[in-house]
Amino acid sequence: MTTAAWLLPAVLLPAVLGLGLFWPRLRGGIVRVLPFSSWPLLAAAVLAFGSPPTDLPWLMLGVRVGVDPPALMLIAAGTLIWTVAGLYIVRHFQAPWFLGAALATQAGSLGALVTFDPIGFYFFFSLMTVASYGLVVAGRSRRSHDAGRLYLGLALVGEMLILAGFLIGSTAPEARSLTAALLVAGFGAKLGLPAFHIALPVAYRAAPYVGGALLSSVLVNAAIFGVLRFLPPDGGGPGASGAMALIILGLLMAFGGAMLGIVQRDARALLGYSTASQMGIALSAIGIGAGHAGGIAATAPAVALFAAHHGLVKAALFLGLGALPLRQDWRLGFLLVLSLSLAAAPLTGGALAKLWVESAADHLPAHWAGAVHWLLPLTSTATALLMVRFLGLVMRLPATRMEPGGRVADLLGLGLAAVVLPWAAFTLAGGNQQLTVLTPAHLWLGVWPLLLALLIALPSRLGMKAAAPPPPPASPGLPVAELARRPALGSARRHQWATGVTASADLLSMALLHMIVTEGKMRSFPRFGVLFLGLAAACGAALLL
Amino acid sequence: MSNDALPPLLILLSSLLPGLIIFFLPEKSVRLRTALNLCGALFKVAVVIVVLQGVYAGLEYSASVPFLPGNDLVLRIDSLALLFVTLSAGLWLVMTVYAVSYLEDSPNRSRFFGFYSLCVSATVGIAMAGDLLTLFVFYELLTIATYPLVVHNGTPEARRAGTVYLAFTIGGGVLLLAGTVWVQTLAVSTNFLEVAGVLEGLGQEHETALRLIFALMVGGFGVKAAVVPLHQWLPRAMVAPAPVSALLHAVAVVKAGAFGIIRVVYDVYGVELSHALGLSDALAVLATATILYGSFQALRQDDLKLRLAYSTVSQVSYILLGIALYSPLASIGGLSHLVHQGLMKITLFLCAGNLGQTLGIHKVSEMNGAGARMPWTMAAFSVAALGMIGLPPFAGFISKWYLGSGAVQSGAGWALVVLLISSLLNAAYFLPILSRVWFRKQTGPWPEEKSFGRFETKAGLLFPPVTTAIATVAVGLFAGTPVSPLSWIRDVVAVEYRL
Amino acid sequence: MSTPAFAAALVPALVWIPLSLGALSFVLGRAASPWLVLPGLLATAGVVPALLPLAAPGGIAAYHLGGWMPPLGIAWRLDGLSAIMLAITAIVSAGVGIFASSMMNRMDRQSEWFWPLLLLLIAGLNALFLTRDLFNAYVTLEIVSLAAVALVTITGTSAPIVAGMRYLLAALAGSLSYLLAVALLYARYGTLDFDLLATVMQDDPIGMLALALATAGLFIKSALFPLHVWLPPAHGSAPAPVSAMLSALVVKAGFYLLLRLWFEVFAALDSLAAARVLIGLCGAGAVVWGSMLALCQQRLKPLLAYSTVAQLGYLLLLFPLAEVVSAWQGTLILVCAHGTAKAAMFLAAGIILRAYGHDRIIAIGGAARGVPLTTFALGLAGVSLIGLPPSGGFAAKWLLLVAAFESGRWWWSFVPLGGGLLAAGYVFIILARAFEAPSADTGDFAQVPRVAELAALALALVSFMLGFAGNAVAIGLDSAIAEMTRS
Repeated sequence: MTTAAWLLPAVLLPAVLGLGLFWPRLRGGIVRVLPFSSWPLLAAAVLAFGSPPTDLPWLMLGVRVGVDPPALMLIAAGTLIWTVAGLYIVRHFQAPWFLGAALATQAGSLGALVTFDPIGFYFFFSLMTVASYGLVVAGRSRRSHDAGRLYLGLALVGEMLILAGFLIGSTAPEARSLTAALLVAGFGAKLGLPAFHIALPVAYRAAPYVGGALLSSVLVNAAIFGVLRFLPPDGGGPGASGAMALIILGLLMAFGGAMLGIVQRDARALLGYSTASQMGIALSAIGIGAGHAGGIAATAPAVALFAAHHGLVKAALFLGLGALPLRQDWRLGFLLVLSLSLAAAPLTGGALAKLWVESAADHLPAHWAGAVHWLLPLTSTATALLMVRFLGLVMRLPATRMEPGGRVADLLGLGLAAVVLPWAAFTLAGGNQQLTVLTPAHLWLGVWPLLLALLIALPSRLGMKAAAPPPPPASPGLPVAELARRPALGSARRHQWATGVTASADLLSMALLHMIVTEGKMRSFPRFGVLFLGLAAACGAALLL
Repeated sequence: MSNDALPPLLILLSSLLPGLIIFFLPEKSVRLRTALNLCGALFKVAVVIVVLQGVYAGLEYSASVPFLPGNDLVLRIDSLALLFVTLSAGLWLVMTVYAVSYLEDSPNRSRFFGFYSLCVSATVGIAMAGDLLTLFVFYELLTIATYPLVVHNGTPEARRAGTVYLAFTIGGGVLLLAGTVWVQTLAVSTNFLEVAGVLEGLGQEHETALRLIFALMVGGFGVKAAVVPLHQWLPRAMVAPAPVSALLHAVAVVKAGAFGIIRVVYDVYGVELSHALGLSDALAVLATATILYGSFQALRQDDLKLRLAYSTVSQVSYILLGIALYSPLASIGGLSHLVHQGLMKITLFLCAGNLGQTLGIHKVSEMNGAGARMPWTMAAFSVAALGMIGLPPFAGFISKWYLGSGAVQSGAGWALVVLLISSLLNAAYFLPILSRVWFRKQTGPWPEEKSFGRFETKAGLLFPPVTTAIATVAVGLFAGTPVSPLSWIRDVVAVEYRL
Repeated sequence: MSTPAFAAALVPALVWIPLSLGALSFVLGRAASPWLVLPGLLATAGVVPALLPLAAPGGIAAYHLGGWMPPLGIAWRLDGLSAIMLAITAIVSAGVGIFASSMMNRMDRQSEWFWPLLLLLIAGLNALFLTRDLFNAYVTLEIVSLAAVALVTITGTSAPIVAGMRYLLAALAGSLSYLLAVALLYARYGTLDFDLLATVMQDDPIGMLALALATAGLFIKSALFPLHVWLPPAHGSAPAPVSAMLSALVVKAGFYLLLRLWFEVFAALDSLAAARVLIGLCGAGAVVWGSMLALCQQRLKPLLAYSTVAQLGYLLLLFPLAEVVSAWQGTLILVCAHGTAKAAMFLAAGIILRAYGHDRIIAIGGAARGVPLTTFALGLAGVSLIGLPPSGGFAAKWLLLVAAFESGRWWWSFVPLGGGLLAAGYVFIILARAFEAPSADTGDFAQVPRVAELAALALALVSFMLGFAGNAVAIGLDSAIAEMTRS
């Protein structure tokens, strides 16, 4: 009970603050505490850490809350991101609806991390999804509404897949592959799975910088956490086909996302694809875990650390891109450091996370392990190339387009945390004792992919090239919404129906007319007499025969 | 008359008597009328609470009134009945408060409230009906009592809507009557409690008859439950005032239809028999078609109430789908949707009524930025809409979870797909509204703005939807507690499936 | 309350009171009429409850006119069937009497003739429902017909006179046909007493011919399809209270006699099955034909008249289903429910006619606001007419349906089921208009006496509440049915 007693109020605090916005008098106070509203959860998580999860059978259909190492890592990163984003939001946005959306998104994105059961998780996750729509459409322009519709539409499709996965998982536990496929596809909606990826550039470009920062950090982290927690063990054991499929899928996303990103002309769209690429790496890391003797749990802390790091870096990149009031060269330097961390340059937090993930691959069957050991570092090359392109785009971005309201100290803190925090977490979590990351061999492991990237980037002057191929066309919108806007479906067919109805009505009225006429005729006495005699005769006949 | 007979009669009379008295009150005696209405509603709720405790403690209540030779009118409260009674009693109270405010200064209020009360009486009668004849009697009574409400505005349009309503409901009544009489001649007794499935135990030679009877009864109840293609009266009936729409959609009419089908499947046939004859499969197909059709139609409506109406068409068939799938979990889902849909839909309609009364808004396209002007109303609306989509922690999620689990449990994967597609469609027609309301700028002056002092609208209009919205959250959030509708429904289903 | 002997002595009072009062009011003239007649009417009605216990099983009260026993004399007897018919006659005529006394201007010509004729009609009806003699029945039937024709033409305007004359001619044809049948039977068997005839009846052509002639004659009298055509103009143009009496009671008289003939006098014969089906088919035809034409009417009263044609069709369903008890119960409840409902509706039509000056359906918008009680009465009676629960009409229909299914001849169930739909159609044609907002051109609106409205409402309420009287009817009928369902 103590665990829940700590966690529940802390989780619900942002939601309560959001409700408080309905009273105009309270708004001032809420704005003041908004940036720090995630701190109680961090404190509660630290306090609850280590104690077993608690069941709350009375809540919805029974909810189980608790904190495990992956959750704590992601909560810590999330708290940091939300604090910085919150400080930015309260300076930049006053509209209650935006504040409300942000608070609800916060409640959802952090609350999802402390749940151990599908229902509780689904609650927080969908709260986050729906509320984050407000972050996308903050611009209130036609473009942002279109983007919001696409984003939410695809997100909801994902939500339904997740729900289907949860339902099948809880009712028919034997259908593991189906559950797994549905869950990966569903969470993939947030992670930029192929087909879902079309929403990423559209949404990230339409959203304000802080919106992009949150979408690509805390939201995707919640999704990856969902995969970690709820993916059913795939028959267990090394070489299981599901695990291998996941690894392949993840690597496809990693390289495909990077390639799509490189051809972007908008830095935010590029960051969107970068997110998809990074999440591909995370998914393949989960696949590695699933094919691992120890199961997903074995790589969970590593994946969580990877995701937490990515979130911190991505948030800092987004805000640094649009809301860092610094001289251009300082700003570039800041972004460069973050980019290096993302590309897992040695000694950065990113490198640590990636090495930890990679170390798990040793336990895969030999031919798989070999492939993974080659391909994972190559993802760093892809990331590095992408970031070169990113920095190139930033250089051409006029400084005047900076959004006001950013504060240097906050962002620098966030960046520093991104680079440093993984080390702390790694140490605290005990890490993998065999993983000694500071040996020259390991350093080399981090360096060669970057060198490869440089080799490719310099001759092609990737970052500097002004013109890039046009981005893939974004989908015009949700198909069903289109359907809704279409004029009356098949008016011709309806017309046919109408004539059918009129025809039968005509027939009826004709019959009635005849009846009236006949009635009149029957009034004439001769006819009446005939009828009378006829009836008498018929009656008699019936009686006699 | 024993004490056990009193509560069912009291529940029935607590709205019937005020209704009859109200008919004869002069138009001007507003206070007396309101007092009668409220006292009746409160008294009913009080009796229901007492009965709830009684049934919880294992008491049984039944009353019978001599009616036809060999067929008394039997009222009895089993747990399924109590579920529906509680829902209607609670919502009636809310609706009364709302309707009194809504109809302030409009003509013909005595007539309106008279029939309003009759309508609720008929509904609780349907709920408590202990045999098929009684069920039919109250079902038809509901038709009669609702008609004047549908045509209340007195416009030619209202009259046409009323005619369509009658054509469908009376036609349905005829089918139901035929089915009822047929059952009567086949079965030993049509008392729901004396025999678990009235028709169970009939031999092979009656198979065709059983199928035909099922078709007749589903046809009869399906009209009110707005099963495609018998739904066509429902959108037209939207010309009626908002409290009537809420009554039609949430408390009385469509619920009565759905409840009737529940009785048919559970108590007339029994789950086993209807499954064995393949009847529930047919019902499931019908429900599926309705769910999808209603959602697609809702997408195309710009008129807010029409959109809500088609949403009802779709949502009520969730109940039927839950009943039709051969699975206890699905049944829990279907039955709980009976309650949950009621709470959510009433909220939506009351909010729509508020928009019309306060800002003159009747179309979705006029709603831009309404959230800033009427935050509480729109918050209630949002809660209900999100619940309709099936998002946690709102009531709709609970139903959907069980329905989905049931679909998986019964091996009907297609039903799960339908559910999820329908949820997406729900989202596609509800979320744009929420987006307009909260995230878009107001585009021009409101069509017809009125201002009401302290609150965003009249207090009597504001509190009812907010109350039901809170209830929507509460029944979802605390579904796991023993006092929730869900726990009650679990017990009901355990009985029906003989678990 | 009273000893059975005393009650039995009251039986003839049902005839003597209205007859003598009628004569008296004729003599006293217009001035005294309502004040003399109305208490008398109510007194007649009051006798009926006192007699009802006699109709209970085992309590059949017989009365021999002049002390002569059949076959020489004429017997009157009160059994369950009679009691029900007498009761409904009492109720309807009381309602109509109250209505008429409040609505009629005492000084006009109508009033002078109305009361004597009305009382004569009631006396004739009561006698008919009591008699056990075929010729006596002929006489009472003639009294009823002649009084009815006179009542139709009472206003002296052209439309009712034309309609009344047609009615008269048709009724005469029917009477003669019936009389011929009576003559045939008397020539063959030498007696006209129901019970005696029943015991000696042979399955021979003469008897069959007599039955056919009598049936056809009574079809005319009762306006049973296809010999109904005289009814709509007559009932549609007569003054409201007259229409009410005619539709509610007079047409039932012929039907009552049909029952006696088929199920008592000729009950023992086996060769009636095909003819019963034929009659049932006539009933089905009546329901469809009458309802459809009712749907075509533009004025309220003709609509109600055609509705009567349709509703009479249900009664004929008894013939093919007679071996089932519930068919009897249903039919007799329908006689009562339709009688009260139709009387209420005709009275309501009279009120609307008075209030608005016309009874065009399309222009009675807002009646719900103008004459709310009347609209309420129309609604209640309409509900009973359609057969929606829990009204008397529903009880009747339910029992008929049960009978159809129990007898295995389920196809007869289509008649009440479909008929209900059609009835809903024409009833709501009226009600839909009543609920409309009043149109602008309903300028002149005359006040209507509240008592008249209450009378219509009371009759409608009776019809509605009859649904709960099913058990009483069943008990009352037990003895009669026990005899009649033997066939």
